[in-house]
This record gives sequence, structure tokens and C-alpha cells, in this order.
Amino acid sequence: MSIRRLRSLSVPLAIAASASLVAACSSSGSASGSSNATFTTIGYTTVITPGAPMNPFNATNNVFPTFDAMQLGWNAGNSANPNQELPGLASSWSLSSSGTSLTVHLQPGAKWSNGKPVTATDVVDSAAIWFCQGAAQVYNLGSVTADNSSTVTLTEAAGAHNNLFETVLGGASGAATQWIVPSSEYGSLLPSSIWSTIKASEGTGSAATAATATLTDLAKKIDAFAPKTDISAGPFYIKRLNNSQALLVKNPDFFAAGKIHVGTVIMEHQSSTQQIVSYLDAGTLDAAPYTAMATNVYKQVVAAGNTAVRMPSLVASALTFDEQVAPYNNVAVRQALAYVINRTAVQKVGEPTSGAPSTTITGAVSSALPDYLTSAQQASLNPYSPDTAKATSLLKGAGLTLKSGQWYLPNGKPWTITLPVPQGFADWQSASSVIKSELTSFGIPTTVTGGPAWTSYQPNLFTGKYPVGWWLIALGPGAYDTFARIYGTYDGYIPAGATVNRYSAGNAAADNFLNTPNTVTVPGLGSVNPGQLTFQLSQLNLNTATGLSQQKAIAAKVIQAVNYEVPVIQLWDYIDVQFVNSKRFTGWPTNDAIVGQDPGVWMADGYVRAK
Amino acid sequence: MRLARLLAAKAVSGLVMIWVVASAMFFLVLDMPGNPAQAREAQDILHGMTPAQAQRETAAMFGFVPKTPLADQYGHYLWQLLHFNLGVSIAQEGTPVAHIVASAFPWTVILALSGILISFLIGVCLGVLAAVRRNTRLGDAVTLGGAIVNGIPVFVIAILLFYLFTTIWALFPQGGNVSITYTPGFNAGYIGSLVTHAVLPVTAYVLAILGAWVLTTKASVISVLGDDFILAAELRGLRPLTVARYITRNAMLPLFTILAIALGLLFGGSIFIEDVFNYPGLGQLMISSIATKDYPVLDGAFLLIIVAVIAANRLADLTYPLIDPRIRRS
Repeated sequence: MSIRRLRSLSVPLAIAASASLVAACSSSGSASGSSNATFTTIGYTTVITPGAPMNPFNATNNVFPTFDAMQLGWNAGNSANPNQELPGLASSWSLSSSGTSLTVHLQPGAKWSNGKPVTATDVVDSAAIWFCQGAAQVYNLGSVTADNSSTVTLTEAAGAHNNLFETVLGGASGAATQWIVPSSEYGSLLPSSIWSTIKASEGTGSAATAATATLTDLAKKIDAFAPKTDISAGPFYIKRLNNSQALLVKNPDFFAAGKIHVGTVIMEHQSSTQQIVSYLDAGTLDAAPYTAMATNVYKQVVAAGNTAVRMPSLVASALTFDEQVAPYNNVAVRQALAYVINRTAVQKVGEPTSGAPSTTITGAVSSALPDYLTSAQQASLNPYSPDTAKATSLLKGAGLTLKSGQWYLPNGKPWTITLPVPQGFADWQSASSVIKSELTSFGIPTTVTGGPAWTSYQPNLFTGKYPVGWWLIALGPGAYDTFARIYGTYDGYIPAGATVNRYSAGNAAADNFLNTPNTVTVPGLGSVNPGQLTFQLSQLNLNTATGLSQQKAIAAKVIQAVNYEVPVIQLWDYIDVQFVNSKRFTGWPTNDAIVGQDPGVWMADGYVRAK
Repeated sequence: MRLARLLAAKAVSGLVMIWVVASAMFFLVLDMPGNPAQAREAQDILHGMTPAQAQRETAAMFGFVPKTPLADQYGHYLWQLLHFNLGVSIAQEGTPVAHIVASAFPWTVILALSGILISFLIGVCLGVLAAVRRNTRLGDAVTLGGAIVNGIPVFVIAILLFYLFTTIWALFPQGGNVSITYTPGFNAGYIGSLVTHAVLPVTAYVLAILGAWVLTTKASVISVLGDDFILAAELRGLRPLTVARYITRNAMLPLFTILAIALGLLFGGSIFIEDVFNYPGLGQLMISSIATKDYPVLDGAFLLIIVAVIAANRLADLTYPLIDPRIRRS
């Protein structure tokens, strides 16, 4: 073959070689229909961070909850029973009659991925780390002791009362922090006197202060610990990790290994919503968590073969009012605004894919209302359907006047509203434009301003800089947590043991920016103190039918108070929209409690099979 | 002696520039609102904890609040810099910033240098073609193409490449630097995966400055072609290769200036390119450290880029006398 002929073939040969290289270097496909299949997703709560340790206690870590990082349980997110936990490394548990101690039995046959059994010692040492992190104190945990090699007892701190004590097993919904780690790896980080130090920190005085400082120092040491390999008690363990992907392989020693039908999991790195959308568009992901997106992007993602899995999320968006500032101190004015703002129109623009307009103003998401109210009670609530005539009547009754299409306050000044929006909240930004349009058309000129990031927006709200602002409410599943977003610390109510103290605006002890009256008179209900009622929700024994019944009765009163008083205008309830792709896998869970967990829990329950 | 004085002057001025920029960065970054502890606290509150509970947890996790006076913080910062200590990451507690930045730096350098080299080679060839064939359709087409590409912002180039070749046609991986399914090491699969993952980001780097090379080379070559010494060389009957060498040596001089500037542009463009392609270099590191308010890592990454750009510029300054005898003699 002549050199000239070789030269003429060089380009086609190069292209062919490159194509072969590209084909060879493509991600390996998954073996269909087999339990060795490769499942691709992104970290639901973990963003792969180069150099971060495989240590769940580090703020920036490379572990994947439910896959290789395990808790004793997983919170079911049930607003009717917020103590409901799904089994994790704990197979069963029982609460004492006093509600102050929890006896937990570990899963029979639970082992770490190095073959060693998961024992009570692992739980006790892990719990000691929770105290260092401040996570145990959140649940009023006092001590953890091993009864035998597979049973532990978790005891509440002396004098404490936490009616959500069972949630120590799996954390409050969305805030998993109660990791179980191997004592063989982490035990050496703890001094032998750790439990004495923990006990001392629960006391008072200088000894307690010193003990707390010791725990804080220990926490830093534990945070920085970087295990060389991933030792997991979960369905998978990390085989290797690079800056953009993590490869997890099935843990043959997992206690329910027989239920796992996936051999390998690839976690893709994601640093932005756009990246997740790109993965979804390309059909790369078998499952993806909630990702905010516009309607056209949602349609594009669905057209690419992904199926949306929608379930209620226990959070809602709302406008807030500082009731120290006129005219927001007048219930008629707040009610009028509720009649002017069309929640459906606002949600349609603000959160079209991951929201549903709140059916009315209650302080709880609409899907949770049946847990607190009877049908008759729900029907009796004021829906605040758009009605400008009613709004006009209310405002005139409150002493405001309308001249040439502009509303004037009783003091003669024109009524204008400034609505600041925190940076990065695109849905609130869009929704604000609709609210501005509706209010301005009604005669209340409204300006939308760009506020700082959420971490700075909140202090501004708390210090009264924004008479009208944006807020997230209805953060369940517990009834107290739900309504405390209105009648808790943000209204000056701070629990102190068995009582609650009320702090006025400006007091550093609380972040009171709502400033609602102590008592309100609600038609059909009489005079009630919503703050006290909300606090009472935290004192009930929710492990008994009586307690749950009392919760329902108290919550009903709080809801009726919110509905009448309108301390906030609830706009839309968020909907958790996850995506699954059935191109390679099937057998997706349908039970809301399971769907609401990360896919590791799905797989541990036998869901998710390769096609 | 004069050369030594020149070298020393360049080195000192470079160090002064680094100090000025490092100081400016320190104060600018501190002016950013919020800190990662606040971000973590806000997240915990959003998940149902009371503010007191969230504060306890974040204080235990991050263990700090920067409460020392600003002057002390600045002095400490400079002292650490002198000892090449970039501090410890806030978000990845306990991890030295130097370690984090050092792991990201090679990925940016490899891509950026590859991009410069490839765009230089292609751009110079096209620029020469455009100059030699000026006033022809081919020359005009090359010039127009260079001008168009030069006008497209780097983030647009990156997004277009990503969309076309990973989503529409799915010819290349969607992101990352290597597929996790290959065992790291000197094996065909791993090396091939590295190359495949680098193709699109490098192409973005290439296209980002290709237009500049084409247009600058064309202008430079045209300018040299019109010089008398080239005409004299042709009239003396020198071989075409020799004439070409004369043209090249003189036309290349302005390109060295652009080479140093190009490095700065590409490092700046790395933020967009690495974000789009999820490439774990300094650009992506800066974005993530901004999101987590990780001041030390942000400072460290910025500083490394600035040092690299200043060093490259100084190198270009020092190399110029070597390639241009007129500068050397003056």
C-alpha cells in the first residue's frame, strides 16, 4: 500500500478509532432483568464533594442516607401520627408507659459490610456522638444503655418531656442525623469517660458548661474523621468515589440482602437544578428527588420518559404580617387581603409543577386537614375565595377609604405595600408579580423588591424590617411543629419545661415578628389563646389514643383561629414531585410513607427490580 | 547584570500584585453576607428544629463564629499565606484548603492548557490561511467564522456543546471527569474514559479563544507580509520555507502577549465550563464554596488562579526578550 493511499485513509481510520474509543468508554450498561443491575440516581440529600470524608457526622460528607448510612428508623412523615417510624437498623421498639424510655431491638443478623455484627455497642457509641453533635439534645435524649448485645434502651433526659421522643430513632422528617456507625471505627474517638461528660453537660452551672465545651471539642474531632473505607450496615457500601460519581455495590452482609434486587448504584454528582434536569432529559437517572422546575421543563422531562411521582409535602408558602404595624393589626384588613389575593392564580405562576393552591388559610397543608378536622369542621372554614366586593366592604368597615382607585388608611395616608422577596426563591419571585398585580389593581399600589439571601432575610423579618414578608409554614409532620411556625417562637412563644413564656417583639429571647394578640375571639369558638393552644400540642402523650384525640381537638381550635384571624395568608402547599424512569427498572413503591424515603429504603423493602 | 535586575524587578512586581489581589479578595469575601453555620442553621429550622436547637447543632458542627477583630484576621491571613498555609475548610471541617485546592487544580490546568494548545495550533493555521488567502472566499469565510466564534460568550458555547452532544445526540458523557465504573489506573478503559469526558470541556475552551487566535494571527501576518524585508527576501530568491520562517517569527510576537491573556481568560471561563460539564476543577470548586460560604476555600482557589495568571504573564514578559532580539538589545 502506497504512502499516499495510507495518508488518504488516515482520516477515516482516525474517525473510526475515535468512535470505537467513545463506544468503549461509554458508561457500562446495566444487565437487564438481573439482580446485578446498575441503578443510577443522584444523592437525595448528599452532593458529592471532592475530598469530603465518608463520615455522616461531617457537615459536608460523602455518604448516602439509606444506601450506606443507616439510622435505627426512618420517619414516616405521617401528620396524623408524627411518631411513626419505619424500621431501619431497629426491627422493633416499645415505648414505656411513661413515654420516657424506648427499648429498641436491633435487626436480627444485621452486619457491617466487613462481616462484623451490628451490636448494641455500636448504637451506644453512635448515640454518644449524637450528644457531641447536639443532635441528641434536640430530642431530649438523656442516656443510651445496652441491655444486651442486640437491645438498647434510650431514656429521656430527667425532667424533660418530648411527646415526639420516638422520632429519636429516625430524626424528624427531613432532618436525619441519628446515624449508627461502627464502634470499631469511631469508638476510639470517644474517651472512656464520655457518658460521664454527657451526664455532666445535662446539669447546670460551671461543670455543665465545661462538659458542653468538651463535647463541642469532641464534635470537631469527630467531624474531621475520614474513614479510609466505607463500612456500612446498609444495603450498599461505597466501593469508590471520584469527584463526580460514587459507585456503591450491594452489601452481601445487609440484614435484608435477599430483598435487594439491585447490584450496583451509581450516584451522579449534581451542583445545580439544571444539571439534574439535563440528566432527566437524557434519561440517565432511574430515580430523582424533588427538583423545582418550570412547567415547560416539567413537560420536557416527562416527554423524555420520566414519570412524575407526586405526594404531599408538609410545607406551605405564606405571606406574613407584622401585627404591630397598621393597618395589619386589624383582622378585617388581613381578611380583606385574603379575599383580594387569588391563591390559584398565584400558585399557577409561582409554583405550577410542585404546588397546589391551599384550599383555605389554616396553618396546615390541605392534605393534613383530615387528620385534625371532621368533614363538617372542614366545610365550616372560610375558603377566602377571591371576592373584591367583600374585601372592599371589610376595608371600609375598618375605616379605610377608597378615592380615585387608591385606598387610604384611616390616618389619611395612601396605603402602599412593599413586598421583599429573598434571593434565590424563584417561585416566590414569580408569585410576587401576580400578588403585586392583584393588589395594585385593587387599589393598593404594591412594590416587589429583591431581598437578601434567606439567611439574611430572616433576621430582617425577625427585627421587624418587613411588615409584609414571605414565610414557610405548616412544617410537619408533628402538629406542634406545624402550628409553631405561626404561634411558636416567631410569635414570641418559647417553651420552658411544662410552661410557655411569651416574649414581645424585639426581645432577643425569641424571634417574634408576627406579634399576634394573646387572645382572639373566634366566632363559634369564643376567646382562645392560640399560642397556649399550640404549646399544649407539645405536651400531649401522642403514643396513646387519648393523646392523639386531644391533639385533634386542640389542632382544630388552632386551625379555626388561623382561619378567622388570618395571621398569615397561606398561598400554596408544596407538592413533592419526584421522578422515576421505568426504562430499566420497575416495581416502584406506591405507599406514601415509603415513597417519601430515599430509594435505599425502597430497595430494602424489596421494591425496585430490573426489567 | 541588567538581566538579573530585570528579573528581580519582574519578580517583585509580581509579588506586589499578588499581595494586592490577595488583600482585595480577603476583604471582598468577608463582605459577603451570611456564613455556612447560618446556612446550616436555616436548613435545620426549615426541617422543623427550633432556632435554639438548630443553633446548638450548628455550633457543635462548625464550632466557630468569626468574632476576632478584622485587623487580627487580616494579619493572621497574611502570615498564613507567607507560610503557604491557606487555612482549613469551613464546610469540610478539618480538611486543609491546600489539599482541596490541590486536588482540583490539575483538572483545570489540564483542560485549560489543552484548550490553549489546540486552539493555538488551529487558530494560527486558520489565521495564516486567512491572511494568505485574504480577499478570496475562503479567506473571508475563515475570517467571518473567527469573528463569529470570538463573539460568542464562553458559557453559551459550553451550554450549546452540552445540549447538542450529551442530550440531543448523547455522544458524550453528561458530566464528570471519568466514569466511576472503571478502576483508576493506567488501563485503556480508565484513560479512554478520561479522554472522552475531557473532549467537550476542552472543545469549549478551544472555541472560547479560537476566534481571537484567528483574527490576531491574520492581522499580524498581513502586517508582516507587507514589510520590506519580506519583499527583499523574496527578491533575493530565498527558499519559501525560509521566507515562511521569517514571517512566522515576526508574526508570532503579538501572539505571545495574547497567550498570557488567554490563560487568564480561560481560568475565568473555567467557572462556566466546569459548572456546565460538572468537571471537578477550580471553577466548580469556587462555585461550591460560594454556595457554602466557605471563605478559606474560595480565597485559596481565587489566589491560586491569580498566582497562575500572574506567573504566566511574568513568564511571557521574560520570554519576550528571548524571542525578539530588538527587545533584548534595547
